[in-house]
Amino acid sequence: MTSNSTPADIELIVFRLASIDYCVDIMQVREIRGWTPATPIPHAQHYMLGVINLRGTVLPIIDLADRFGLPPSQPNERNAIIVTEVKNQLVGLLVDSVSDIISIDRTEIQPTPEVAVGHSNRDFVTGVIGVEGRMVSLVSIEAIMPRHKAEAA
Amino acid sequence: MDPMAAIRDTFFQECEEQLSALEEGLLEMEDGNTSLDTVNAVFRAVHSIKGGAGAFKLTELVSFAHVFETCLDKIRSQTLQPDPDVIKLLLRSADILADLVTRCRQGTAIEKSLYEGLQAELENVVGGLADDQSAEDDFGSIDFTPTVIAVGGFESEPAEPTGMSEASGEAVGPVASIMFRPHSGLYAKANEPLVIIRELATLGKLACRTSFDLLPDIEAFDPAENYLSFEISIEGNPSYDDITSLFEFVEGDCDLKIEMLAGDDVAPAPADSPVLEAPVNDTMPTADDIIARVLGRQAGSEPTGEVIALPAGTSAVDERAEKPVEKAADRGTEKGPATKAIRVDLDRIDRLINLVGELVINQAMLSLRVSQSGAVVAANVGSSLEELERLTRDIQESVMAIRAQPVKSLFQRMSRIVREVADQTGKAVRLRTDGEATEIDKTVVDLLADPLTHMIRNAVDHGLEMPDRRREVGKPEEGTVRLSAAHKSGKVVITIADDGAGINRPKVLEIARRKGLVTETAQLSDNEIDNLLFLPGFSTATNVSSISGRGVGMDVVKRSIQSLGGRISIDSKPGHGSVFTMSLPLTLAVLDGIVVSVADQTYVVPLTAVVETLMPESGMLSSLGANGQAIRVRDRFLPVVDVGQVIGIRSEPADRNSCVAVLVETDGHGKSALIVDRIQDQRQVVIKSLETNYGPVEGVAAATILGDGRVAMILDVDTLIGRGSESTSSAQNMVYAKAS
Repeated sequence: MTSNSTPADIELIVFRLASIDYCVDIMQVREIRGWTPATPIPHAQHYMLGVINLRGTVLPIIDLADRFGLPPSQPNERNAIIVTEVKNQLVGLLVDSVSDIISIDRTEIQPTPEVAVGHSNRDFVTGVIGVEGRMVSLVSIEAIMPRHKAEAA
Repeated sequence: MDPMAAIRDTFFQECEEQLSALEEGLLEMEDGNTSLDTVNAVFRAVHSIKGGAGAFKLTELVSFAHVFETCLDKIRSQTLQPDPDVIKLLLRSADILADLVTRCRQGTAIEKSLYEGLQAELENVVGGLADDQSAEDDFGSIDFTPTVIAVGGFESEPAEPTGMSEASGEAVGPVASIMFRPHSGLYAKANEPLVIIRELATLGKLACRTSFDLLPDIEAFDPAENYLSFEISIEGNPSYDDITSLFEFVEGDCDLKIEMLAGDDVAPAPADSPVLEAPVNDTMPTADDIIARVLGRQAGSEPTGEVIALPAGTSAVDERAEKPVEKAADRGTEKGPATKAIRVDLDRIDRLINLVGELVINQAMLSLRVSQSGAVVAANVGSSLEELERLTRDIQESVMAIRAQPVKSLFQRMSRIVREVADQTGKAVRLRTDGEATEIDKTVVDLLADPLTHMIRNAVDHGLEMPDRRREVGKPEEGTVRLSAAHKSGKVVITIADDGAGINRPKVLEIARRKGLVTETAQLSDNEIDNLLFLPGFSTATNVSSISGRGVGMDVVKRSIQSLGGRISIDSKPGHGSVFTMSLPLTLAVLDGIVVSVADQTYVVPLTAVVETLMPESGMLSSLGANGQAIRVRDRFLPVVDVGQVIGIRSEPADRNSCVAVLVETDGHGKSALIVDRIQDQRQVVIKSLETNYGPVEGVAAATILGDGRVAMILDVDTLIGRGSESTSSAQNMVYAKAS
């Protein structure tokens, strides 16, 4: 763990989804846990897998692949759930696997390249980072959260 | 928190209690109970607020409370008759006092206009404050010259402290010798030497003698003056501070000399001695010094300011001073002194409740694991588990009881609303309350305030007729709004009834049609018309007043009640008034439910809605329209709601041959049948919020965690049925205006 971070540094959790590398700010991550079957929420968006019991708290789970427009996950025990906290709300992100924690300087974050239309990730990706020759997309959890929950019906 | 802020906090907390006692007392007086006990209780409440406010230099509060108190004092001394007008004025003053307290608490500026008018009215009633005394006088003055002042308006007889213990033979420990001569002013303020002496008697062995030395000749005798004085000696190590604190309340209205003598130095007062001849020790502090010390550590400075600096806190001093009076007044009434209560932070209780919730879930998991383990469970394990389950439930109920609160405070707030609206509309209204002791979860009480306020306003503003109209139809001019609470089959039922004109159904229907809420041709039953009031955007007020009728009306009320897991219904009789009935859960933390399976998922149906369950036999279910169904139960056809379809987890209906029907009844939709695949269990479940991390879900009231650790949805039966009957296009003609 690199703890001697200056304000310019940012620690990121890198995870993998359909062979693509993504990352989120570690400050927004509460914990990482294994997959347990979720209870579906009536009238929810298709990417809402449902809710699970996180030590007495009802935690909604988003299928991140489905949310990004990739083929929906077939969750199994090898999947991981990244429990994140945004605006005092907890939400779990279902990902294929968590691979790494990296520490970078904020200046290393580059703007997302303009790519072909139909690449729906753009709405959720705030920038990209080059790590050992691979491109890692920085995901904005705020953008992932379902927007009009009350009107999900 | 720094100690000052903590003391201040305590003061405001006590203020709330005092205000509630004040209101309660005034309402009793309004009902004709003007006994001295009641008036005293009211006086005491205002006095305590004034006392505390003085200590915190809340000048506006002090000056208003002072006039208020003076007015009450006049009633107490029977120079002012508490007629209805005066009591109305007092009630309004109580409201303003509450406002002032709130503002002081929040630290917001107080405009003079808020209280000046009323203060002037009070002063008028009092008669210009003839015997004006500075507001701080009776708790702050250290001016203690023993002079005899004749004060007018004194009517009661001086009390004879008869029956006090006689001086005894043997002296043990230090002795306090007290010379106490009440002025007539002390009696005029309804203080009672006997009470003080009784209280002194608790400090040690007490001997008291009445001295008649000052009695003048019959020509010079003023019947309004007190000529008696008391000589008291207390054995058994009484402390200065204890003694002075007892006199603090009457300080300034009496001559007082307290001397502390070592036990050996003094012979006990002989029983027949007319005057206690006690040696005076010059080094002993005089009463002036003692009182100065109690009130403010440094003599010569502003005593009121100094009280703040006392670490013990002013409230403590006040309480001690008040104790004797309070005890006397409470004697014989049902409200005993609230001694065995502690204040606990709500967060702590909530944490405990959450933990107990976890315990319940864990206990359920344990039971499940044991039964799943397959092994033959030894009998003692089984009984231990049962014992654990019982204990868990007991613990849970006890914890829940901590949060339970009587609805009294809520109801008291409503009486103010009634007064205000009555004033604004020019109607004469009386609020009657019932079942104030009914207990309900604190959260429910808090969240109920807004909807209840709204409904009370509506009842007065729309429900009741104007006085002349009431006279025409032969009703008493004064309208009555009845607010009652009661426990009924595991729920709290709160009703608001008015004796007004009832719902004007033709007008309601006309408005609903004009606003497109119902179709022109729809034939609605009376009940359905009444329920139109709950539709969003509906407002019957022809002229929108500032009080109610802003178009956000009963639909908001209904939604808030529903969000509390409650139901609301209307019953109205033209010419006789309307009754709004709310049924609310006792707690928001647990509920009893039936655990059912639908398409591999588990749901919980709240038991309160369930009437019965049955296995439909062939022929009981029949199709109705394209995809609707009805069920025949004892020759009645009820609409069927297929849970799987309505909740959206499967498109085809449940298997007719193996399904189970759960008959439910709701206030809004009558009886219906919920079709599920299987009933698993009936048990108590812990309510978990779905909204904290997700949001509201239609048809789902909340979530819970089952014994296997998985989350299950608790169904919101009312909205499910609403959706169901909508899609099956049953006899519903209403076009619900969609909120989303």
